[in-house]
Amino acid sequence: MESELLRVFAGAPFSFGELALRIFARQYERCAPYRRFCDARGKRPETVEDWREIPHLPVTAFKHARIYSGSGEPTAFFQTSGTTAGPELRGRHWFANLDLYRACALPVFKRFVLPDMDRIPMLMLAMDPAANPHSSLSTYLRWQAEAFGTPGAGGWFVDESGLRVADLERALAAVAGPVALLGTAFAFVHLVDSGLGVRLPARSRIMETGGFKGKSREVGRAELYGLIRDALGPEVICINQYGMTEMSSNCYDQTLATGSARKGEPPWVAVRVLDPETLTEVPHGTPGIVAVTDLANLYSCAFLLTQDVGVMHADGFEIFGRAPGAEAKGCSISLDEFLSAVRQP
Amino acid sequence: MMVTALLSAQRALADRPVDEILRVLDRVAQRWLDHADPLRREAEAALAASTGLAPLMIRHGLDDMIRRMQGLGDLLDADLGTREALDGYCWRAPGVLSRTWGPGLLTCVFSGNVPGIPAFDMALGLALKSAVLVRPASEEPVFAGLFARSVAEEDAGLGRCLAVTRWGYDEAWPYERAGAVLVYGSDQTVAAIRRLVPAGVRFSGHGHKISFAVVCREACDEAAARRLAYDVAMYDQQGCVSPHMAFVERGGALSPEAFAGAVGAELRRLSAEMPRRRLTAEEAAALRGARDEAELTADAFWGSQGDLSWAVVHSETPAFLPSPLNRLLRTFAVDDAVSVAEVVAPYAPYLQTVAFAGSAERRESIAEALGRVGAARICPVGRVQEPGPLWRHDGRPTAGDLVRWTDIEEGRR
Repeated sequence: MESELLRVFAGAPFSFGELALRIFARQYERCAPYRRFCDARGKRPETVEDWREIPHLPVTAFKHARIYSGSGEPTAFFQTSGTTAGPELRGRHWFANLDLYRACALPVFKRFVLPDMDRIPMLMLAMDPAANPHSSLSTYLRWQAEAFGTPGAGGWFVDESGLRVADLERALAAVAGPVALLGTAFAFVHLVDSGLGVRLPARSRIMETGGFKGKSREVGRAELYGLIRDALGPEVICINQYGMTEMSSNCYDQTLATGSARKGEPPWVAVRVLDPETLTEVPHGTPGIVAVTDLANLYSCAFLLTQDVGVMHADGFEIFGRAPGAEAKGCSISLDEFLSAVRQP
Repeated sequence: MMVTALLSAQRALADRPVDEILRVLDRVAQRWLDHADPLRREAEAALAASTGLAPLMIRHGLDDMIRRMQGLGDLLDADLGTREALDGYCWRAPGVLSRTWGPGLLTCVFSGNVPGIPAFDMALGLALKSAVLVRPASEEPVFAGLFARSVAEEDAGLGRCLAVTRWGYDEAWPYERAGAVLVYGSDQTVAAIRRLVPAGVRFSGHGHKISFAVVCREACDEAAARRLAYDVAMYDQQGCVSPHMAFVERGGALSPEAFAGAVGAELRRLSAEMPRRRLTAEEAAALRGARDEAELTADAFWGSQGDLSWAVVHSETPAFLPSPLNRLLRTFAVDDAVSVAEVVAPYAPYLQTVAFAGSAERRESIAEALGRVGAARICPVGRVQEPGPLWRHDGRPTAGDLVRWTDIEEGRR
C-alpha cells in the first residue's frame, strides 16, 4: 500500500473512496483503540460501503492511546504541543517510518507555497528540528528547506528563549530578492510585536500555522496579516497552513495556487464539515465541525475528527478555529470555565 | 426617574401589614399555578421560545418556583424570628424589642439559566415591604415582566413597586439608591457589579457553583437512578443546583457501573419526553469535544447515538471533574460515601447542592463531613430543582441577608 500511496502523491490517478475503504479495513484490523471506537458505533469494514460512513476518530484519542496501524514497532513519533488542556497530556502521532510523510509533504508545499519558483531563501520562525525532534512542524520545514531552500541562505530563528529578532534582521538584510518566512502564528505575533520594520522584496511570502493559545497574545488572522504587512511590506504574500500533528498532510490557503484565499487540500485528503450533533455533512456555507480524511495517515488513523469549527464553500474551506469550551449560563459553571478558574494562581 | 417612582410607591407599601402583602402574593401564586390562566400560558410559550427548553420542563419548573414563593411567610418567620417584626417591635429576648426593615429598594440582576427564578425574589422584596428593580437576563427577558404584570393586576399598589428593565453591566444608577442588591451570574458578572455597588449597600452575589450527587449503597437502585436522571435533565443541567457528577458507593443492589447505566437509560427516556434544547454549532462542537474526551478516558460510557442528547461517563476512580453540561453526567465509584468529602474538599468555594440517596441514619454523618467542607444543601435525589422556601441559597439566610434591624434595650431593672 505504501508504493500505491507514493504513486498517488506523485500525481497518479486513483479512486479516493476505494482507497479509503481499503485503508479503513487495514486500520480497523490493526489498531485496537480505533476498532473499539468503530465497534461502539456499529461500523465495521464489512458493513461500511461508502467511505463517508467511516467513523472519524477524535484527535484527542492520540493523547489517550497509541493510535498505530503500522507493521512492526514504530520508529518515529511527533508530539502535540500542550494547549488548552495544559502541558500535562500530549498526543503522539506514531509512524512506522517517515518516508510517506516526507513524500506527501513536498509536492503539497510546492503547489501551495512555491508554485512560481524553484528555490527561495527560507527563514524559519520555528525551532531547529535538532533541538525539537518531535515537532512535526520543525521536521516538515527542514524537508522543505532541503528541497526548496536556497543553499546557504536562511536559518532557524526561534530557540528556547524565543524569537531571535536581531539575528533575523541581519539575515533579512543579507538576502537580495524574494524570501520566505515560515513558522508558527505566535512567532509571527512576536515578530510584529518586536517592532521590526523592513520592506521585503516583491514576491516574498510568509507561511504561518497553528494557534496562539498561551504562547502569545491572541490575534485574528486578518489582523495578524495586517500587522505582518505593516512590518514587512504591503506586498507580502500571506499563506496559512492548516494542519495538525495528528495529520500527515496539510491544507493551505490557495492564494498562489488558484487565487482563492480559501483553503484547499491535496487529492488524497478530504475535508468535510459536519453537524457536530449528528456528524452528518452540512451544506456549503453552514458552520460545523471539521472532519479530515487524510489517506497519508497510513500508519495511524486516516479518519480524524478535529476540534475545529469551519465552513465549506465551492472554492475551498475556512477555519474559524478551535471550538471554545462550552460556557455555562448564569451561576452554573461548565468544565472549561472550571478548569481555567482553578488554574489561575 | 424610574428609581424615584419606585421609592415613592414603596412609601405606601411600608405602611401595609406584612400579612396583607402575603395574601396578595398568595393570590398571585394561585393564578400562576392555574395552568389554564392566559398569563401562565403566555409565559410558558415565551419561555420555551427564548430559552429553547422543553415545554414540559418549563411547566414543571414554573410550578416549583411558584410553590417556593408560597412559603414566603414561613421563610420570614424562620429568618426574622417572626414576620411581625416587619410591622412593629417584637420581643426578641427578655429585655430586647426588635423591629426589622426591608431594603426599601431591592435591585436584582438575574441570569437566564433557570427561568422563573425572578418570581421568588421579586415576591420576597415585596414581602419585605420594598420596591424591586429587576434586570432580566438577555436569554430570558420575558418572565419577570409577566410576573410584575400579574402582581399589578392583583394589587395596583404592589404593582407600582416593581419595575423590569435592562441596563448595561457598567451602569451604576440602579444600585445607587438601593438598600440591597441581589445578583445571579458568573463570577465575572458578580464581581463586575459588586464594584458598582456603593459601600454600605447590602450585596448578595450568587456566582459559580457546582453541585453533585452522593448515592449510598443502601439506596443504589433503579429508582434512585431515575430520580438522578431527572435532576440532570432539568434545565439541561444548567442550574447551579444541577448535579455535574455522582459519587456512587460500591456494595449496593446495583454496582456503581450498573447504576450509571441505569441513569443513562432514564436520560434516554427523558430526552424523548423533554428534549434538550438546540445548541449552536460552537456549543455543539465544544460538547462533542468534551464528550469524545470523556468517552475515550472512561471505564464505561453510555451516550445517545446519532446526536449529543445525553451521556453518562463512568470511572472506577473518584475525582472532582465538572461536566461540560447539557446532560452529561460523570459517575465515580467510591468505597465509602463519607470519603466523598475528601474528594470535593479542595473545591469548597464552588460547592453547593448535594443530591443525596441513602438512609436517614447515614445521612447525618455524611452531611456532617460534606457540610464541613462547604456543601450548602443536602436534599433528596430527584428534588434538587425544588428547594423549599426555607432554602438558604449558597448557605446564606435568604430574607435575613436583606434586612436591617432596630433594637430597643430596656436596660437592667
